[in-house]
Amino acid sequence: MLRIGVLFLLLFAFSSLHAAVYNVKDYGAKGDGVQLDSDAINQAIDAAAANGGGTVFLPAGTYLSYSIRLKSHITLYLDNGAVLLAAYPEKDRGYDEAEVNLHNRYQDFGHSHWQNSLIWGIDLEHITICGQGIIDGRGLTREESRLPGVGNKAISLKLCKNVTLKDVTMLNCGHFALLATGVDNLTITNLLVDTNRDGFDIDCCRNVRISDCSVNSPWDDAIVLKSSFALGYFKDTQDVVITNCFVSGYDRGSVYDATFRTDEPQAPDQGYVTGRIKFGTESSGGFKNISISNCVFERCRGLALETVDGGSLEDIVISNITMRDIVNAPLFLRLGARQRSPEGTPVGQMKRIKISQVNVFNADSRYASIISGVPGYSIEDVTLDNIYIRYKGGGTKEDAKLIPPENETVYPEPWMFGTIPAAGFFIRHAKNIRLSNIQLTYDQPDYRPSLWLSHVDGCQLRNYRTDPKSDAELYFSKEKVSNLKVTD
Amino acid sequence: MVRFCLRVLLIAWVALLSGMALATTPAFPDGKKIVTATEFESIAPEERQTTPLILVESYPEFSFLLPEMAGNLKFGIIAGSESKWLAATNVSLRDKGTNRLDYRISDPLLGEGQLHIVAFALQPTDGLIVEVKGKQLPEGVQLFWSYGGAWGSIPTQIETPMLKPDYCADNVFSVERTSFTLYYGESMRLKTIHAVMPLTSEIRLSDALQQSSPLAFFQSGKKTPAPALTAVLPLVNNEAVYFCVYRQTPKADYNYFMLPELFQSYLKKH
Repeated sequence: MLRIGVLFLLLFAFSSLHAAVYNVKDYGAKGDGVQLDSDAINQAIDAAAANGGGTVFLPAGTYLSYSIRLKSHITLYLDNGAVLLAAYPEKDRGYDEAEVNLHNRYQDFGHSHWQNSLIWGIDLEHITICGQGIIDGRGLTREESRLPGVGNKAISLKLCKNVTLKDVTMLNCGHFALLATGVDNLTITNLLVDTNRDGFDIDCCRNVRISDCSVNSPWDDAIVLKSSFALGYFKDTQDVVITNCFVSGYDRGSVYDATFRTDEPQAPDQGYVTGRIKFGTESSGGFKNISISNCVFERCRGLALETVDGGSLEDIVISNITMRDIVNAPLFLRLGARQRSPEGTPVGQMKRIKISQVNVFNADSRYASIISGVPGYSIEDVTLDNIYIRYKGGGTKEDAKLIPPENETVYPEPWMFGTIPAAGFFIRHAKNIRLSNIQLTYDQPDYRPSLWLSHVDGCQLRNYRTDPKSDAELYFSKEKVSNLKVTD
Repeated sequence: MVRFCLRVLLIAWVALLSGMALATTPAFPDGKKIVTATEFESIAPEERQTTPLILVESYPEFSFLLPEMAGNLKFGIIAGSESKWLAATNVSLRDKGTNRLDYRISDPLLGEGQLHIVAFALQPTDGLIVEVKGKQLPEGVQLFWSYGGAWGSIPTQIETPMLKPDYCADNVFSVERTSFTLYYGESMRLKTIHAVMPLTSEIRLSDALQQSSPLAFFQSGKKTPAPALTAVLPLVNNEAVYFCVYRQTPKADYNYFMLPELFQSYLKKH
């Protein structure tokens, strides 16, 4: 009798364990790359959610799919060999329609809608997407089609909490591999992303850790922090750690297949490959308390910190960065006044930024490195320490005479100023800037002054070394520069 | 008071002149969008600055002047290891109405068969829709198409429809399934043109410096300063395939399944 009881207990325990995993094939998925499996996957999610949550399991196979609707307490597990393949929209079927958003004029279409995605979730908690499988967004668009049934994001989450994305590979993800808007307690770790537009867009999120990820995105930004008005209210992106990541702009797909090709130098915006870490452009809210460390940039644009829509960007620490083959300004700090925010939003702030231990090799020289506010609004308290930059050089004496336009309201990119009249750093509308242990070298002679200052109150140079291979002066103070101190 | 009235009159006069300047006179009063090089030459240079046109020849090759050079669409045929530009085949242009072109193509590569190619200018989007249908073709004949050469500037010379490698620099093609968006122009003055091509197209990025034949172009590889798109697709007798090149607008946003109906709507009008 005792033996029978134990047997029943074991059977019960086994069946309970079994029930916690919901294999999509048990719900009709074929995984043959031909049948549309999204209905089966959604049924498995519904069944798990009805039982309080569980793991929805995709075994090896190719699962052709439209929108997958996540629910709370669901782990979507893509096993090694599983490919979740975004299907092409057809005449009478496709992805869920973009929901109404009354605030969509303050950011692009892609940032304003979540349901038109391969995987989406709104108002959820405790969700995980993980496994050694692949999310291939082949049927998503990176372009601007508004046709019903068109999807443009691989993973899209809004107002969720306690979210983990782990281990998966993401390819061809449309506008975003991940759009996370208003997601708190978000962990992204060990993802390999090789995509045709943005990698991760972290928008209005709090307590985010992005670690050990590779993001190749030659046609847009790799890891981007934003603070848009898509939620209909201001919310900072804050308490973020980005560490141990690789970002790049190699030819699409060539990091995934490890060929690292460089046959396609141009990006759609005609500014050469992108693939960088950036704050902005959407910046209605703010960015606070953010750390970036131990990251590698390769064949891409430089680090960009931008707040142009009214947000306050402050308390940022960036260290241990190495960059090679950088196609525009290695460092670009811009406080602007685009103000793509509700009317009356004041100009933002940028302050308390510390960038140290940065090594840059083979950087395009046209735009030097830029720290620029706008008239009446200065970037404050920036420390650059222990920075080595090898520029290509080639700046001319004519370039040195240029006065870049302010372009307060223009979309921020280094090209907004045209060729920069500095060979090293262009600093305008700034307060309390410290440059210490700086070394700048050049492949070709550069005839622009190393440092161009205008409307700067407080600039300390300590151990600032430059070798422009020309007779160019060390620095040029255009006007309204006060408290400039130079020490060895 | 007199001064005030004079000021009002002056403002009204300036406004009238400005309005006249802004209201561009169409180059062709009948709404003609498809023009030959000769017709293009007859347009006053200042009108070429503002008039979107599609430049054609007596064979099916099209250049899009919108009014800046936005690219070139051309075709070829492939049979085994042989290939030929349609410009080099026996082409008859029938019933060339305003904004409609109707070609019949014959050639030894097509055996006893023919290609029927009908194209309409798309009025609201400065674009073009093309139907290609094979009749009595031998097995294995493939259609080749290429698109490229979006220079982004308004040509100062008289153009003939050609895919010029010089016009291809920095063209970026975002291909999704068999549609593409071509990005061209400069940063901060970026331009795009869209196309939806047949679903059976095998599309590649290719080298516009190697256009000696459709096959050579298709097999040229993508490492080039002059990138263009090339593609081949099988031709099935009596089965139409469609090509659509257009400026995307909220009302002109196409998927391939929409093209047969779009083509039919123009066929009924013409």
